[in-house]
Amino acid sequence: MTHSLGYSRSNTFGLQAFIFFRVTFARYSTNLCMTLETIEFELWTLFEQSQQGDKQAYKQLLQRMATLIRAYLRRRLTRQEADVEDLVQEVLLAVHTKRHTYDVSQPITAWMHAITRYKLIDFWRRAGRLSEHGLGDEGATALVGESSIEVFEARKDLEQVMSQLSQAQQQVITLVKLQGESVAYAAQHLGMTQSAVKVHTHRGLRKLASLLGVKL
Amino acid sequence: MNTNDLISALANNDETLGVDVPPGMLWVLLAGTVSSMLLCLVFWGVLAGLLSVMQTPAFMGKLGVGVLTAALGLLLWPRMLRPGSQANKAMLLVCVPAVAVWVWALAGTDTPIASQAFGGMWTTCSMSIAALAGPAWMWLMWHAKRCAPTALRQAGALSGAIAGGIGAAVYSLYCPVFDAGYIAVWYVLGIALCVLFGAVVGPRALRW
Repeated sequence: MTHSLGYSRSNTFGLQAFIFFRVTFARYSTNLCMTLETIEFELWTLFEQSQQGDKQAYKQLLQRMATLIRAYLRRRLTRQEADVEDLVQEVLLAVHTKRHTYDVSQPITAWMHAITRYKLIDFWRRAGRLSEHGLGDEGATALVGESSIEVFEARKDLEQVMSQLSQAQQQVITLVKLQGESVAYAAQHLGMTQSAVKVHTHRGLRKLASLLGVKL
Repeated sequence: MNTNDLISALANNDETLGVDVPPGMLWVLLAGTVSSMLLCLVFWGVLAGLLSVMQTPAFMGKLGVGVLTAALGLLLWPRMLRPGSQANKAMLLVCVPAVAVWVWALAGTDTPIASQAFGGMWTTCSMSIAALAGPAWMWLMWHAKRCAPTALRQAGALSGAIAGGIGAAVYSLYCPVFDAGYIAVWYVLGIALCVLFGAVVGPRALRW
């Protein structure tokens, strides 16, 4: 089972991770606020602050990472909701105990992604799914690689319909529904009231549903 | 445990949730080499008249195969221990000393390699190198477990190459044979066995 996007087995790991995270979390539309660069910058800043002993920054860092990791794992463990949270905790623990392996000259999102991906593959291996299908290391890479294409295509579709929503609707849906943030966080981040966030989310979802021909 | 509780515990640096502090690479190298040497001293011994042959090019060449393999492997080692990093084609770097000794054996001597290879203690040479690599390999595993390698098979193979190099270097202090053909066959085979072992065992031994 060979599968190649050109970057899957090569040295361009940073790029690979960049694309994964970009596909997973960032830029559902060009005018949205959370790009990968801002996530990277936010995490990196928090990491630097926590390295200087700022516990609050460290806590914030782990919380932001937990949200990103959870979203990433949910997409890949769709039928194992119960395992997602355990795995999130496992990854956070690894981030904590292995933080000396982060090289500050590299993107922190790439580092986090590598740990998450490692733990996910390890989970699959433990669960015996890989041995069942007779897949080894290459198979695992291909599995992750393949799902990234699905995500990529899904993203493209989503981008297309999302572009027909108002900007406010796009923003709240991206934050609340796609990135899994709380309504309070989105309200604060976008400078709206919480009820405005809820209204925009509701209207946006209704419009999306009608655009996609789904009955609510 | 709730994820938020975990985050709080981690942020407050709860003593029970320690951080893996890796030792310096040079300490690992030193500890590995010393423990392999001790094993050699106890069970193999040292070549009689070692001091008198030490300066000869044949001895330097023999020692160099192991030392260079280990050194080139160690160049790639830190990279291998970071999440997401792989060595891929750079792994071929550790083959350079083996290729060099083959060139030396083929071009530098008149006698055919086969007649050089089946002399001395050729039946045990490779196995001895692999055995002497053991202690050094344990130290490398100990080091790697405190870091976060994600390409476990590659990391395992590389650890085998480094340990094999150390094993070969240590064994050359005992081995009384200096023929290039002998070294090209049995030393290289000994290191190759270590690489193979590392690649097979790596994915299990290095899990974290």
